Amino acid sequence: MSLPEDGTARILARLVRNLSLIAIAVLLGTVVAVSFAALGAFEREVRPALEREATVIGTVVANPFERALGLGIPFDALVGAEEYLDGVATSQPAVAYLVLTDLDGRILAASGPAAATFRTQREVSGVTEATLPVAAPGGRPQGWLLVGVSRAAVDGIVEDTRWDLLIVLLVGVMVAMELLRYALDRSVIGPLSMIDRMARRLAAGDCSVLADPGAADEAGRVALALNALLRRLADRCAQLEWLATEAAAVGARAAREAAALIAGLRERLRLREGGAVAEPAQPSASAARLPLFLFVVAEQLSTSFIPLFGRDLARHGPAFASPDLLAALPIATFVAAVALATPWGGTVTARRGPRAAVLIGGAVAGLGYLGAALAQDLPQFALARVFCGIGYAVLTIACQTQMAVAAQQGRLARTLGGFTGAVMTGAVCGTAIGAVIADRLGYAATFLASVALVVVVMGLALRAIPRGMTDPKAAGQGVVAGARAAFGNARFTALLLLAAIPAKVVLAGFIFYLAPIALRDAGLSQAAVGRNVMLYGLCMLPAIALGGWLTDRARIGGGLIWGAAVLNGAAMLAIPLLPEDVSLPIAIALTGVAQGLASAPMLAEVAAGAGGSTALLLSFLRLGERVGSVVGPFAAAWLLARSDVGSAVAVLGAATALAGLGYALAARGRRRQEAAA
Amino acid sequence: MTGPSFATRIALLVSALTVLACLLVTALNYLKFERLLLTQHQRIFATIGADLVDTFERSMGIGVRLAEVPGGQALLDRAFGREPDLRRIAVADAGGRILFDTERVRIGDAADPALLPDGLNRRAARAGGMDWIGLPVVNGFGQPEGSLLLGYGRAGIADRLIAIALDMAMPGLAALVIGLPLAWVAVFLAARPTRRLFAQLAALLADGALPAQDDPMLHALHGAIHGHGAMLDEAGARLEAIASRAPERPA
Repeated sequence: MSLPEDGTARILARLVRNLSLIAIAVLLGTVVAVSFAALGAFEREVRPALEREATVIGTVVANPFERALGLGIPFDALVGAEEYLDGVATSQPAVAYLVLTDLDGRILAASGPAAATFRTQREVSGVTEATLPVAAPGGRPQGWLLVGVSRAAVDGIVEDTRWDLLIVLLVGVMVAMELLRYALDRSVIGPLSMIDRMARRLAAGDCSVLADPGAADEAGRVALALNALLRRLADRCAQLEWLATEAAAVGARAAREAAALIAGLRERLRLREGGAVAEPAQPSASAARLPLFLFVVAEQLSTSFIPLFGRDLARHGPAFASPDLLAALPIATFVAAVALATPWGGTVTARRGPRAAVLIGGAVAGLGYLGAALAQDLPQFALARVFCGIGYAVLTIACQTQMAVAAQQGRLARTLGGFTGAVMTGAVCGTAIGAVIADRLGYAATFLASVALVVVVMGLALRAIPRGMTDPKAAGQGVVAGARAAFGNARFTALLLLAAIPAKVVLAGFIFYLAPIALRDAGLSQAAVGRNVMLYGLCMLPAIALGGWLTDRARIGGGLIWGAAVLNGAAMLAIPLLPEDVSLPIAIALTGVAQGLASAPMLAEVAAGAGGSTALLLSFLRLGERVGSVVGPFAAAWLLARSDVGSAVAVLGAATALAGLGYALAARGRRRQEAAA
Repeated sequence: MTGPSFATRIALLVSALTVLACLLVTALNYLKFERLLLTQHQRIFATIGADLVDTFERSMGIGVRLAEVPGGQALLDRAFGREPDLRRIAVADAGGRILFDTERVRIGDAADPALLPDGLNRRAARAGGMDWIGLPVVNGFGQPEGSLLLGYGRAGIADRLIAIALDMAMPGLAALVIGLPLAWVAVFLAARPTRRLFAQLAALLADGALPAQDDPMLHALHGAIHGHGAMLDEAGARLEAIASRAPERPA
């Protein structure tokens, strides 16, 4: 879909930027206001609840002391008070301290995790305290019992709330951007490109095609006006033809002149016999991007609990292997199904078109999620995940192909970079939302939510992706023939072996395997490890857009591919040279930047430069990437077994940098050959 | 055809997403607070229950059978009066037969097995609109002699939950009431140049008005419309001129 240029393009760019900023500002403002109100309310309402708990505990704890005082035992002669308080403090996990003092505040006995702090400071932070008098029944107070209840659980919830706020904001903004992109494409950018095409046709005298009025908004009104104009032109032509018939009655010369005039008119103004027909639907990248985003959300909803669900099901199964080991089965079957079905997905997309492939993939994945929701044992669950994997493979390739087909002139890399962007944002949103749904509604409900989302994806595909768009290059070509054609293509093979696979080996081996181990060894908490690993995604998302823009504008896609690999390798090689707490986050962030920069140029290289069927080549690229993802952790583990983490990362870094240089040499050799030819 | 503007749809989308995000944050926070308060509420009643169990166990320590603990019923009645959220306290023997109960008519009945502790482990359950804690009563030899069942309501935390929900909902609503109209205004302002472009296109197509905007697409369209119009006018004039000629004589 081509965009109108100059003034219109500026107006559209400003519209997209301003609407994005408005959506982000409104979401930020309201969600932050609600969250701060929640935190304030929480502080106000939880404090009395904690004080009540402290009072109840104090009443129970004071009971034996009061009985003893009632029996006439003097307050300062209470025996075993400390041991008694120790027993209570141990049985009450919320208790920070229990302190028995006389009326002057001298401590007689104290117990609990914060008792030592209380003895020295008398003020313990993060504790809500209740003070109860200790007296014989009906008598005057003889001492005080101080009960401190820890606020740790409350503080944990407050901390959780801050993270939830961040996640909801992140998810909200990402979802808003995806939906906004889709809505703008459907209601503004798409219609304007259609009007631009119609204007060009009209200027060329082609009046055979009518505009699709679509919705009843401004664009629809313009389309109706355009159609009315075309009909007016057709009516005037018909009127002139009638006039030519009248003129022909004057005589033979007049008839010849009138016929020549009408013939000239028909040459300059082409009308279709039987009236103009509606313009066929045009492919659009956003028509594939939103379904892809929603499908990845659907798939990732269950990411946080699939091993746990697998282990639960394995516990009810045969005892030939441990549930922990069997829990890996659904994950392995899913990954294997995705890898094996990817080339087939490419074939289906090439032969039947992206729309049919999205519907087939969606139907298969939907069955898989339904099966997972109903699964009673591990084999059923693993089988359901096979269906999910096949659906995932077919649908993602279909969307990627649709984006490649729809990419407009000069925007191929940016459009294809949107594929990685949609997958990554979908993964973030799906994982975050899925964890909440699973926590509140259970695993089955989460899988049913995935089914519902897949139905939405299929509905969107039916509505937005045009029929057809099969690839004539792939006609009659099976998976084996496709593989032969793909791997016979030296340009594609170099890209796959020297850029795509090494990138995934680094991702899986360094980011997912070695980095968490190294960060944990450096003494970081689990949360801090998670935040450091998140740097990869956070740096990658803007780098994808930048890589796409640079490729389209500066035409340096090949340089970006090998340059990113060298940058990635250099960052990893620096790890043994610097302190790990500094070098690891930098290397993770630079890996994100490097892989983001190279992502769009790699896809664009396959779609535009490698020749052959785009769908098939993309499917083999994805297959190669999955092989890299599987090899990565094993390669990293093998290196780790023979050295330390720093050296293992350095070796992976050296390998990826060398592969990048190899790709640069291969590209140079190819250019020389082409120049010589 | 006078449907809503595309800006209306975009504004509706932004509004719907904002409301959804606010609802999600509110629901998440509410559910989290509810869980915290319920856990704390349970801890309070577990403490009360453990104290009662301790009293029964001390009595059994001096050789009294659970069914014969002196003042057992009075002990339950006193504890029952202390906490407004307590709905029922019962003590059952090892076979599950109720020995003491704050609802005296139930003494001698069988306790609900779903509420009884699991061996020496405490059980938490929800039944009959009440939360229950089942605590084992153990004799001096470490053998379960019976159980104490403590049923309580949520009225005490319901007020707090309502207060928290209102405290979250009011500022949320205020933010939406202020934020959403502002968002609508901002969306329409942002959409104005695009709407103007569409309006110029519609005017150009309807009556051939010359676009005020210096846009190649608009000018190309204007040129095409006028070019075709002029061509048709010329053809019409020539055909009329031919038609108005005197009939030709046959050669």
